Amino acid sequence: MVVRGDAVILGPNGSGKTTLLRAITGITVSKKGRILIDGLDVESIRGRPGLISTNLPEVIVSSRLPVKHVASFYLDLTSGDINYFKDLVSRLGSIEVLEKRYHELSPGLKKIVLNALAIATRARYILLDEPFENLDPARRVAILREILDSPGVKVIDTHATWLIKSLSEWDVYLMAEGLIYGPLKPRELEELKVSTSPVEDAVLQIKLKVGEVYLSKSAGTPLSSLESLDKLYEVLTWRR
Amino acid sequence: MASLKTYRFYTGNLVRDPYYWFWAVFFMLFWLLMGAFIYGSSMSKDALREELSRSIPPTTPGFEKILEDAWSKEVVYYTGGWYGGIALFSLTSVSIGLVYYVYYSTIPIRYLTKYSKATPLKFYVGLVLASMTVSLVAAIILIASTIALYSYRFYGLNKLVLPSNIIGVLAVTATGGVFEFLLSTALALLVVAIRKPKLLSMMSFAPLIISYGFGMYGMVGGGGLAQYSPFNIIMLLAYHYYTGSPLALDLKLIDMWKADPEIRNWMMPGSSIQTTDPLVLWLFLTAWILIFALIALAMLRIQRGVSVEEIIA
Repeated sequence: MVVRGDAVILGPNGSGKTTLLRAITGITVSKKGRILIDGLDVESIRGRPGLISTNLPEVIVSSRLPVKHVASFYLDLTSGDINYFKDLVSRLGSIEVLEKRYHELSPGLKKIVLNALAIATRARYILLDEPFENLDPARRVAILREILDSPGVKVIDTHATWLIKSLSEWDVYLMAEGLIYGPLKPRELEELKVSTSPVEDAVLQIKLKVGEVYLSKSAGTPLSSLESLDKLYEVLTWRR
Repeated sequence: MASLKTYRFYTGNLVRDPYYWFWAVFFMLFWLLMGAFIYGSSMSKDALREELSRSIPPTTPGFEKILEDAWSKEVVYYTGGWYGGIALFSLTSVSIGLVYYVYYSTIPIRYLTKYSKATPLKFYVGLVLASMTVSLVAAIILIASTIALYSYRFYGLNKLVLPSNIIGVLAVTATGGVFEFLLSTALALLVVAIRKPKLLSMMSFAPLIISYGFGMYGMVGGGGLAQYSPFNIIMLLAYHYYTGSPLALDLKLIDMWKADPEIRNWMMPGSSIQTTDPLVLWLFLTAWILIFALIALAMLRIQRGVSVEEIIA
């Protein structure tokens, strides 16, 4: 898999999306293969502030300090923008969030803090794990807007299919049972049909434990609209 | 700069930790109170007069002066003995909290050392300094409390039972803080390296159990080889700098007053005791620090392959 621009990874629970982001950041060690970031093996990367940021919760040091101090510690070390972080958290959550401890926050507010921290780092590559999870619709849209406006290459893994319409220029990858497929453009997804029988012009051939499924433009059941993109998950967790 | 940031961040965390305040400070204050008012309740100048009169007839010229000096020494040795033990157990209590901090910091440290200005060395320097600082904060509170409580108990605050070398007391506390940090790091990384997160709780108490074992043995059990353990060395050096007493490693701490030549002359004329230069203990403590630094570094290398799932489980 080569990521050259903004990308979204769609996949069902347990498909390995979060593990993939952990492996890309280098906080979990890959047993097979290599991950190169700008040509550098992730294992050898040291002291590169601003190269990668992520909203994975495990990168946050367990702390008794208020969110604003934890963010200040992180963003100082990573050359990020603390004022932007405070502004974003105040707008999407509330100013009180900054004074609270991270572990006291609700799951939704924790997600806002983690997203804001990742975006405020102003990194070249921003990796966001389920950035819309536990957020209400208004906040989902607001955080999506911030993601789209932020500089750098964004890689999002998500269950959310509603956002695909807003990401017309992004690459879409599908992930199932630890394997990744793609890329496709969102508009290509609209035209695809799914079949369990081999198809000659298959755009994607997805290997599952129970067999293979084929996405093509010619044969099978059409994924007729983006609203029905959830059908992809039915395909990716296919049971016969 | 990154070390300073890390130092400030972790110091801020540790001083807000109620666990630290309860175990490293308030629980130790409780034992200082016990030492002054319960265990020390039988100590009096009259009791000492009776004991001293067995070796020096009370009619001897200058007896009262000797009694006064002996009483001063008994009080300072008793006080120093309690401070030495309490300093060790307070440092160990700090260590328990640090095992958790180090354990739960392994992933953030891995992340930040890749994508921030912090290198592993700068991170650990910051953590060591934070651990030294909180150890010193606890020590300062405990020293002040020791002076106040024991001066009140024995002199009604008319005279203060001051440490003979406060710089030495603080130096051994700070060095003890470094040792405890490295011990905690080694234990936390051992849990990570052997991939047994469920051992974390038990492992975090290992410093306390070991230090109580060695410390109590050195205090009331006996001297000998156990006095070369890092825990006993910290206790003995804290005692030495509080009291100014020579150190004899064959003696248990409660009998260390026998190492004072003046007291020996009064109470046990003609006896001799082999004393040890505190520098030797400093060298041993330095060696222990180096050994645990090497173990911690080795563990750091070994734990490279641990999965994030196991740590956050």
